Amino acid sequence: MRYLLRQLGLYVLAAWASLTLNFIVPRLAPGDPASAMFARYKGQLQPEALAALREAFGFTGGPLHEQYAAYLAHLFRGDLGVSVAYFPAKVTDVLAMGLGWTALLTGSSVVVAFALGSLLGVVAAWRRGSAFDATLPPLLVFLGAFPYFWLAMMLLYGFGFTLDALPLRHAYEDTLAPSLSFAFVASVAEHLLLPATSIVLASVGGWMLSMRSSMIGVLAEDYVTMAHAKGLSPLRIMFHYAARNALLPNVTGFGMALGFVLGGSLLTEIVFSYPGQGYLLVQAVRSQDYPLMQGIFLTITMAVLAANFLVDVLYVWLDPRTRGR
Amino acid sequence: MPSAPLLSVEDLVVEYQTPSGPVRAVDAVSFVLERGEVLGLVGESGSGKSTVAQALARILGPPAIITGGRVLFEGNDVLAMTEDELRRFRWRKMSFVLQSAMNALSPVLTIGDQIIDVLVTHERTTTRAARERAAHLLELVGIDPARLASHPHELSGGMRQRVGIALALALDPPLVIMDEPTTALDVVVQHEVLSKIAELKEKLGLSVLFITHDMSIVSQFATRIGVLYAGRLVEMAPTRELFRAPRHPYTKGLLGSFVSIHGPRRRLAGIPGSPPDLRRLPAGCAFRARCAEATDRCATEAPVLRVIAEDHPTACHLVSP
Ligand SMILES: Nc1ncnc2c1ncn2[C@@H]1O[C@H](COP(=O)(O)OP(=O)(O)OP(=O)(O)O)[C@@H](O)[C@H]1O
Ligand code: SF4
Ligand SMILES: [Mg+2]
Repeated sequence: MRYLLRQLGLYVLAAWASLTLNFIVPRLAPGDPASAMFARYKGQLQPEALAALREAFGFTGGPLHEQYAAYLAHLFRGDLGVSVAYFPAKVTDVLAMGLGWTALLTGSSVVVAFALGSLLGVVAAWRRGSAFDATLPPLLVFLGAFPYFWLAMMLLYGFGFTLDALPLRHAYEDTLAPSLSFAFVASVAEHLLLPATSIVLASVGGWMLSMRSSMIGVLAEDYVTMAHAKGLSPLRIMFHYAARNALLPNVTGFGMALGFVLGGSLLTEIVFSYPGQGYLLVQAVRSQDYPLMQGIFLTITMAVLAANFLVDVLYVWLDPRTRGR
Repeated sequence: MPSAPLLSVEDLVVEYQTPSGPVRAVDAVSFVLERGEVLGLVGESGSGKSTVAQALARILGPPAIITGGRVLFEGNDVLAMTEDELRRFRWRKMSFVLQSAMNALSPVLTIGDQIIDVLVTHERTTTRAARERAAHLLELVGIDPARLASHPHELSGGMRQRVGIALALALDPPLVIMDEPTTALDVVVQHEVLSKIAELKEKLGLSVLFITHDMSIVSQFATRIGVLYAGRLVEMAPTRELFRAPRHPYTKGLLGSFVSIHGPRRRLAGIPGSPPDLRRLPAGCAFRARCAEATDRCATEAPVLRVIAEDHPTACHLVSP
């Protein structure tokens, strides 16, 4: 418990440092980058909006510590200013929209790829040298070697365009209004299938390989030999004794992947015009929407930190050796 | 077959499949272990002791393959058992205490889990009854039953090894195989664990296959001792007889480096040279390069195990003309 609290403290510190960097860096640049940036928005934004934006980023003209206080105050109120690309929507609202879709697409793909890959890795290591072990890992690694957007495009072409079996773009049918109706949920699932599959296909091989190799290490451990000697069932030995231990080193990688989920799968989202974070980021860059970019980077940073903390919690839960610390 | 010995091993051969060909780690090993007996198996590191032990319950994983011989337990051929029969045989008839107390228990499961699962698997008991039995087992080896909820890393090395012993006794098996049960421990703890084993052996009338490379330890326990060199049994005799009249030069070397039970404990270090590479065994006697008494015959002809005195087989040209 003390260990988790200490870790939490560490992440809060890291979060504060990244927020502060976010504040300092634009002010370190020579000249007056803030004015230059805001100058670009002249004509695009009304003066009031511009003033609100300056306010949100603390470019108030006062002494630095006042600017900093204003910046933090706005941040904690959840005020990241207004988006230029989606004017007059607030950055937080734009983000909320993209975040949901990204969490759904990338989040579900990462979880499915990790669970599936780990399971396949466990079985491959258990049946080391079998036909299953000889064919599946190379095949999946081969698939994973393709750029993931290329897989996405091939899937799109095959299933969406040629077979016309699945939708080509967007997160749901444009004619439907978001609701919890069956038609809407079904449409979301249908639109999710292709992009999610492309991400899973591209990453499942990696998970499988790393689980397979840690599993092979664990299978040589004395406690697995012991479990065999005890006459336990193969399933119990495979999962309860071997896989539980083999999972530990892979949890870190999983946490990292989860952390970057909110960054979105940029190219997949572009290929499928999926309205997630990655797609927003492209829009933001295109229209030099500095507030939106900053909002996106901020959420990515926070997500990475949160995922790291999640890994720590998972470790404490999975590995009793971390509990005493 | 009530007259069958508890364990009888006949011409056991185990090979490790390696990229450079098969390595014969156990070569035609035969011995008999009677009920109530403690059979010591000694030999240097790499002589094949653990491989023999694990072959007996067929728990050797790849790349090891049992390529020949028979293992009869109470007259039943272990090597002919189906997977199901094997699972029922393991632990109920033959349990293990492994070398490294450190790694023999899974670090992510509690002590209780690891004792209870073997009870629940083999005896159709409830988890609650199994827990009571597990607590009782811990008491038997002198550990507070509250430790059932502990994880292995929370216990000292000596405690872990005693947990290992409790686990081995869980199903009250006729034979316990102890593979260097005290090697990883420091001397004081080693002594403590050994007296625990001695006490339990008397109390429960266990049969034990006791593997070690420490002559002073085995002399305290074993009724008979087998000496393994490069995968072969080179001499076997009742403990007294072996200490009084060792015949094989290797055994003599082992005993020469050993002072007395009451003197300081020493590891097997008194024999010059190192064990041969099993992949390139020389023709003739495998011990020849280190043997002070070798003759020309030893270079060409491998000695075979012959009974040269009562209950005392030896494989050396010096004693079997
Ligand atoms: N996985 C393996 N692959 C190839 N050869 C192996 C493997 N494991 C063991 N061996 C060989 O088998 C021989 C016997 O090993 P084993 O572990 O049975 O010896 P041991 O007498 O128990 O030694 P120790 O005292 O070190 O435990 C070794 O010399 C080694 O060359
Ligand atoms: S057979 Fe020859 S080399 Fe081998 S132990 Fe006997 S004397 Fe030594
Ligand atoms: Mg060994």
